[in-house]
Amino acid sequence: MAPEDYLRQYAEPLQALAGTVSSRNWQALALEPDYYYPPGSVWGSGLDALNRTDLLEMLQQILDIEYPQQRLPESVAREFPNVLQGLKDERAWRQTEMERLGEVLAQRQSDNERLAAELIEHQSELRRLAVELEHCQGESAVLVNEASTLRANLAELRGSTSWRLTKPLRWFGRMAKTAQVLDV
Amino acid sequence: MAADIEASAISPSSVVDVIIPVYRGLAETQRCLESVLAFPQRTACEIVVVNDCSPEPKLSAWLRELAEARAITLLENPVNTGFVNAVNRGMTQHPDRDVVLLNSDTEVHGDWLDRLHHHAESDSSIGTVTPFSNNATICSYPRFNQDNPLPKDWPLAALDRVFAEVNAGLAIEMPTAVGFCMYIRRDCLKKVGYFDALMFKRGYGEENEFCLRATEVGFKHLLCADAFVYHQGRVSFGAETSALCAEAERSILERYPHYLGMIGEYCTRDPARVLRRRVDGFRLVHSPRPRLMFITHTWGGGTEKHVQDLARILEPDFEVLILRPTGLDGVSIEWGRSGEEFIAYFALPYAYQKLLDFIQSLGVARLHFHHIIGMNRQILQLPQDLSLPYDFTLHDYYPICPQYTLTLQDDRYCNEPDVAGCNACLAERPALWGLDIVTWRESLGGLLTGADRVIVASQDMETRMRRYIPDARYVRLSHPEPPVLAVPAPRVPPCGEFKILILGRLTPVKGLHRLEACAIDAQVRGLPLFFRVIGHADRDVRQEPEIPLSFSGPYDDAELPQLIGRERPDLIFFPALWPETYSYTLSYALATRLPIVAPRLGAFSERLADYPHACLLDWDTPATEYNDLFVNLLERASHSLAEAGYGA
Repeated sequence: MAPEDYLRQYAEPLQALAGTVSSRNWQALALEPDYYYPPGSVWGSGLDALNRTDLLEMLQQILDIEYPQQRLPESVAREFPNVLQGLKDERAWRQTEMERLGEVLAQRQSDNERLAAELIEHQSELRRLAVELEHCQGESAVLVNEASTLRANLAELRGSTSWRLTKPLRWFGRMAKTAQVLDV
Repeated sequence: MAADIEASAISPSSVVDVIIPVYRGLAETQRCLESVLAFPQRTACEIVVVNDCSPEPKLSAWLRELAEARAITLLENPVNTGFVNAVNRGMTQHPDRDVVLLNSDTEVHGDWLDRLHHHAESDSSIGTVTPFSNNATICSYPRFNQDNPLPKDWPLAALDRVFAEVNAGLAIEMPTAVGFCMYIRRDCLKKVGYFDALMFKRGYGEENEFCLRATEVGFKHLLCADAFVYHQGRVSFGAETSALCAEAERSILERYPHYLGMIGEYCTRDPARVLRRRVDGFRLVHSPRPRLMFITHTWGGGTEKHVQDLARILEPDFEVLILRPTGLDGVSIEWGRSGEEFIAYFALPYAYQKLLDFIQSLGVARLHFHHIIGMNRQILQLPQDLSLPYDFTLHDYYPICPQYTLTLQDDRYCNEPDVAGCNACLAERPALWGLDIVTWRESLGGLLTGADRVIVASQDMETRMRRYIPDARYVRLSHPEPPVLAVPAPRVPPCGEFKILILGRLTPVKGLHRLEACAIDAQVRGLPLFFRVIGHADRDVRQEPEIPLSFSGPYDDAELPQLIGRERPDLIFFPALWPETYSYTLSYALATRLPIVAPRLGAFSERLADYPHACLLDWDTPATEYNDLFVNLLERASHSLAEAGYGA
């Protein structure tokens, strides 16, 4: 649809709005600075920026929403400086707690670094032992090979004709040795 | 004027030299000097014009006339020495006086100098003072760090009066002055020295480097919040400006590597925003136009385009404010007029009363809901709590379907099942605020039936909505769009492969997976089809060379006709799987006169009803059948072209 046609149809019921502007009070439109910055921006300076009126208004709003039947009693309003002081004390406590936790964190980080260094050392030792183990396993395999070669040689020797033909001679030999022992 | 000062009893050191270096631009210089001469100041001042060997004889002659009339003190350089040398010559003219450096393309108003002087004298640690301007980077108004035109209906005189009233006596500290209009105290000049003409001979950056030196020895730089000086900008250097700025930045960073970080920190913090907002507020409440407030989401797309289009066409007759969800549960209200920056944030639920007060102070006379997705539920109470009439434009099916597109989890049209079916869908994908479908429709249905008008862009949408919320006052009003000029999409003899074009950002409900299936089928069957998307996909899909499908990437709407023409497509395809409510990209497709293939669903049926080259298929037609249709259509078109003498 052509924009001018749309505008004609859309704005028809809005003609009655002409002349509805009455207020020229720009101060009524002025908001506290926080309203001009997106949530989570760096503008807010926290409790230090709050004045008595702001805080009372905020407390009243919270009460209106959470406990609609309640109103901020005058006695509470008079207690305001104590409330503010309490909040500031709490902030100071939290600051101290954050500093303490910061120290704990620093200590933990230092322990962490020490343990990381030890871990590296142990890993290096482990690698060295692994190399040694591998070397030993290699040697062991060589020895096992040699043993089996020797066993095979022995079996071959024992099965040979010459070994069998000389069997009586070895028997007589052993007997002669035994007789010498008895004579002694 | 110089002679007057000499003859008077005023101490020479209490006089301020207003130094105006001139090179070219007769008209701008005339406006500047005439504005300076038009407003007498309480602060004694002498206007010192340095003509840096202007190449415009008329300009030089005019300056001489003024000097002869003793309106100005004229210093003429026999050769061009560069902007910085010209300024330095002006500053050395009277070595005891404060100075104001004023570019020759500025215009001042009222007691501008008195206001600058007042701030300069407020503290001995102040080195420089700069006023607000339309075109002055960190001192810019209405938009921070932008070259702004003067706001519509607010000429310099009116705007300066507003600054003087709403920010009377206010100033904030800045990291640097801006050289278009810069008050410098003599104490500062004496300790810091003049501008560095060796490094910045031709201008740009010299005032920043000067301010950094001044900061190092303890001077502050103020933004004078109660004065506004007009600055045209780019008169003497024109197109060279960007190159000069870049060169200046390099030079400053070599000497002061922390400079950009310091400026960045100031821009992030933007403490001058509060001062700009006070002026915005004054201008808003003094506008004679009735106020409308749009309520919409932050998801962009067609809804945002409509909101912006409507705000533009309403600008001459209305002030449009736009309320959107912000942050976890808050809302923001921005001034919808082009060129404005005003925005305020309200954390809900605690600031709800503040929000109501603010809207009432604005004098909003009517609300217009466009979308409420992501909105705090309190916003639905606005019409009632403010006793305001309202309209509701439907951009999708949100009031009857929390999934807003009438689609199931597989992103295909749901065929609008019964209540049990909808609740089963909500069990998998719960609605906002955890409502069941009946409560949802009752809640939002109440909002719709309370509206003066529920605006829908198509008959199809009205029919669907009436099934669920029959009592609303529906008004059919197609979206406002300037006529799309015929898109140049020249038909060329096919070269063995047909190009099928798809327009816009593709999501699964807009047929991303159907398109991928078509491309895979074309690959498997060896069909002569190539699918090209002007736009992008919102998730990863297979593309060429694996399958015959490619994406151009994001684009600006204004470029779309040219982009379509450049692609030389054979056909345009809309693979949507939901009942579209309008489709802006279809408007561009219609202008090509090319064959269009779309599903018989939503607004496509009626928008393509009279289009001679349209082909509509059932929305759940398989990809293979779509491809068969493409091949048939295109082969037929190819034969027609061959018969017309384009044959290969």
